[in-house]
Amino acid sequence: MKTLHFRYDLKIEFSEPVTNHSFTVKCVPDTDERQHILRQDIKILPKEFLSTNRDSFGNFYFFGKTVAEHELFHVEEEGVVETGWSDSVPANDSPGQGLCLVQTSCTEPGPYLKEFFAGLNLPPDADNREKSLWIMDKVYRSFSYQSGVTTVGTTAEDAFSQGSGVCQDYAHIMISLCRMAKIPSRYAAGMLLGEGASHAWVEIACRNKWYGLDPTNHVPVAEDHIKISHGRDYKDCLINQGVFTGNARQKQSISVQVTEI
Amino acid sequence: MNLEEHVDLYERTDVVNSLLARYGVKFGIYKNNTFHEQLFPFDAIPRVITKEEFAFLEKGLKQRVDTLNLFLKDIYNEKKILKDKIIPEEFIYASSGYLPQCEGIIPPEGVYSHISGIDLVLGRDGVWYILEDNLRVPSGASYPMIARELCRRSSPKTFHDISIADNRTYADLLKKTLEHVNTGGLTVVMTPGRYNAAYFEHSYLAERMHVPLVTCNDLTVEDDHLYFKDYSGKRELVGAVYRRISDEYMDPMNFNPESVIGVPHIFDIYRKGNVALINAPGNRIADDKGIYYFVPRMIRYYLGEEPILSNAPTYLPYYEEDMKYVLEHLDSLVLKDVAEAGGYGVVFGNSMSVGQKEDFIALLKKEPRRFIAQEVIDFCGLPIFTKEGQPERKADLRAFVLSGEKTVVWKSGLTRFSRNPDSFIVNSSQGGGFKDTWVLNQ
Repeated sequence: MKTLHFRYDLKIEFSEPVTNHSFTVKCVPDTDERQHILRQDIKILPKEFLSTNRDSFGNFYFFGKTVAEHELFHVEEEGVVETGWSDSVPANDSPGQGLCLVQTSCTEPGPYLKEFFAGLNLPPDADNREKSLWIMDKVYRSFSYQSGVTTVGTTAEDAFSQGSGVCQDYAHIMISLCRMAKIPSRYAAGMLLGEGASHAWVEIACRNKWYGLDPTNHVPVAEDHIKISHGRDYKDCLINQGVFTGNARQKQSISVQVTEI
Repeated sequence: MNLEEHVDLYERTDVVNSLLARYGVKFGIYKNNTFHEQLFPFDAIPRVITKEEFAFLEKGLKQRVDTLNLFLKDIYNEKKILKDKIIPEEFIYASSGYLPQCEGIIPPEGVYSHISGIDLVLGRDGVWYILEDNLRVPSGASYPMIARELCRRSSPKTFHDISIADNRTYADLLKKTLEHVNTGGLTVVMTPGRYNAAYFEHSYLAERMHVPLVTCNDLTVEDDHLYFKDYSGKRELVGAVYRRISDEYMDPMNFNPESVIGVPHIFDIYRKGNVALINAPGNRIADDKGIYYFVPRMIRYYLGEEPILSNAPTYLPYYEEDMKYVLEHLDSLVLKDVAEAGGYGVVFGNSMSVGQKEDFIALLKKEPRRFIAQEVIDFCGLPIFTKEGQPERKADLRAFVLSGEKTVVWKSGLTRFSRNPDSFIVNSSQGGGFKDTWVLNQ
């Protein structure tokens, strides 16, 4: 077990003042079998009304609206989490594992991923966990980390065909392969000890439990990861969404700090 | 009843049509990215349904819609029908009609499909067959309503002589259905705007129900609730939205982020139970033509009853034996793309060239879940009135089933006919016409 302190800072700067800004913010870690939130403080500014809810995957989120003119939207969050209480979370949750077998627009394999899958040589008698460790290993060896070559809209197939990308691409590629292997798998978004940005990994179902695997770092998810949300793919885990009135360019910056106490 | 006696009514078809045009009873069609508005041609010879026949249809339609409501609740919550393997999981999860966003939501009063449009045809064998269930935003009720009103004016004697169930009650029925699920506040009709194909209907139903007709700009989410802001800036709480806008455009924060005709966060407060959306989001899974195949099984599963109304004989190429049958009998079948609606994506096996058949079979083998195949039902036509005589045209019936405190079948319906003598396709988006549907009182 580890005790981690995290600080999460999201800023959106608008080049011109905007109005009627509706927003949804999904950046709040929650207590589960693996991680216990000891405390956290969140500040969202500006806001005229702010409410909370849980989405259909059970992820906690804030939503609200600001009608008045503003040029900055700012989310500040800070807290303490104990991680490593368990290596998994129960997989009897809704919507269920069946949904996590279906490819999405982000994970739909094309010729490159299909060919790669055909050459995987998955151990036939292994369980889902062993198979997905195998897949993680192959993905880690066949894909390299490089930022700036992919965008948030890059699909697993496109990222894989060009050979490099970031944690989101690693996760989508691994999910695509797991789903081809009939292993229920989903996208997890969160933070990682020592990293300055948000992170993403994969959860796979085995014997009715979800296990986290981090293909970017080639490790099972244990004590260094703080999970924020999960879903079918990146799109279910968007940290921030908004619509507003105004002809403004926006600059989003996220800074994350996770340190061990 | 002898239809010949009411020639005065038929002869006034042109008068009624010109009045319909004046009232703006139009149907918009998008073709090649341009918007065309055309009249929806009315034919005055009605479809007549006897009291006994209606009682039979009513029983069958209630059974079907009650079942579909149970199915939607199950699919978005407990999923018993999947666990019991009545429907394969992938038919739900791989369908574009299933919306994961709706997981775990039970709408106000547990009603998913408040207004269902069920399309039927009467086969030459005398059997009514269900062709399609429309549980999203079925349109069409306004057309027989206004046509009836105009016909009563143009031929009062006909309506004096024959005892026909009054179909002008639809607005009351609809209002009652909406108010049953209202969470407190106004009931409104929400339209995407005047360029929508069914804009006439939106405005007509709002007017008849005496409720505001609103667009996204009139609605706003504040403090966990939905408000209607009128021209003076006054804010009023809204408890029920009869939204004539599809799920994907309803809320840019939860569905298509590009939508400019939705209300941000309306879905978030719906999830909290603070407003009723009519029909419930996520219903498209029940309209899926692949799911249609399973409806008779659902009726047995949820109600323990035998289906009263029949499906058209349908094959699912997903199942190996059905695939075999489809490949062997391609010429006698009609093939439908499960993701399409409005008469699009429908191909008759015998109309394909050899090359087209080969291409289709390759596609079918690659994506078996994407298609269903049905026996071509030889269904009855109805006469239409022309100066030269009364030729027959293929016609279907859209029955409207309203689920509020009780499930009720409207004693009328939209009868659509094909204007082309050789066509089986009656959809208004394909240029068909319509008739009134009379349900006799005795």
